[in-house]
Amino acid sequence: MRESFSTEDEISQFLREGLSQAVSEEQERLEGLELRVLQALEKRPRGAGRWFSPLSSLTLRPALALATAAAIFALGFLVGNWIANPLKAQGVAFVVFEPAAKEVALQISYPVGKYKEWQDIPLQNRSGLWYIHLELPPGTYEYRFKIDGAWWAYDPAANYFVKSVDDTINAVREVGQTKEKRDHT
Amino acid sequence: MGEGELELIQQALQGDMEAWGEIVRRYKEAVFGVALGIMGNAADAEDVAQDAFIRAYENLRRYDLTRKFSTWIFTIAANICKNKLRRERFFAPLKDVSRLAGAGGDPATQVAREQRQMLVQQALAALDEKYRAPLVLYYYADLEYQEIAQALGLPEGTVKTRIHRAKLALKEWLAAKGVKGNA
Repeated sequence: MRESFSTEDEISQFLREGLSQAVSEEQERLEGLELRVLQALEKRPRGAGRWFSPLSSLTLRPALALATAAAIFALGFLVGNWIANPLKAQGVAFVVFEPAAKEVALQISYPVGKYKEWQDIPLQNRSGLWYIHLELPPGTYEYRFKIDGAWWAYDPAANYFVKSVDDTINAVREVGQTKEKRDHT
Repeated sequence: MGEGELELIQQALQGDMEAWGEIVRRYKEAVFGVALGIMGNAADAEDVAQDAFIRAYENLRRYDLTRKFSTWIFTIAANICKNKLRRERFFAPLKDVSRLAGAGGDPATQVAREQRQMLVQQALAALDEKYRAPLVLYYYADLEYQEIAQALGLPEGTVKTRIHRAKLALKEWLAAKGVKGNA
């Protein structure tokens, strides 16, 4: 007879069985967890997203995708103005120089109460300069770029960087803040 | 990836909450188990599991569909545990141990099962927090070293070292309790 737990299998079995049994004993606690999760998601305040509603609706109501695309297209005209005179432009510009890229998107979060929503926004391309100009209300925005499917967050224009819930890095822009917070992390 | 899981995730990405509910139903026990192993009590584990599924949904657009979903959701749960423990800075072993009893069935089997459960929880509680999470993620959640490193924000070498030390500490603790293999 073995005197102690000595093999990988025994430790694995010990932990698996013990925790599995503990989990099975807690079925009552897990009952309806999915409903509680869905209720919590549905209860999230939506008011803070009003200003961004065309973009937020893209996430949850794909039927409005065409309308959103039209809005983004219209935004392109505004971006044209910004390209003509970027220094005087209002709002926030997101720019990446990637001449070899075929597709670049901005993924940006915006606050909805204490939660965040994420939105993908395709960037416009002019000779390898990918850009979008957004009119953003004051707030803190996490974002990163998706360049031909690869994530890239180290935007030199970011105010600082943060680690996300899934341990990826996000760039952060603070809009309407009086104090720059560069190199926050 | 489980049957129809990719489709469920894609449906959830398009706003289908019922699809997300099905994902929660499929993974809630596993996520709860990871959280229970790390947090040490069922009440906190329940909070972590619920929070993990909420935050996963909020970040679903960032989920890489080529990755295992289980790895991703465990990563999120482990991060929430880490932050929660950091906030609390204390660990209350067996805080909820009374709920572990009462499964019914043959009394001898029940006693053995309760002993095993309590033993596992006591053993994990005896480990330092920095050893507990990698051990649970490796042996219970089946994550690879590299995935644990990503989940906990540690170098892969540190993860290997911590799991090795956790095993040694676990063996010593069990030996001191007079527990034999396959107990």
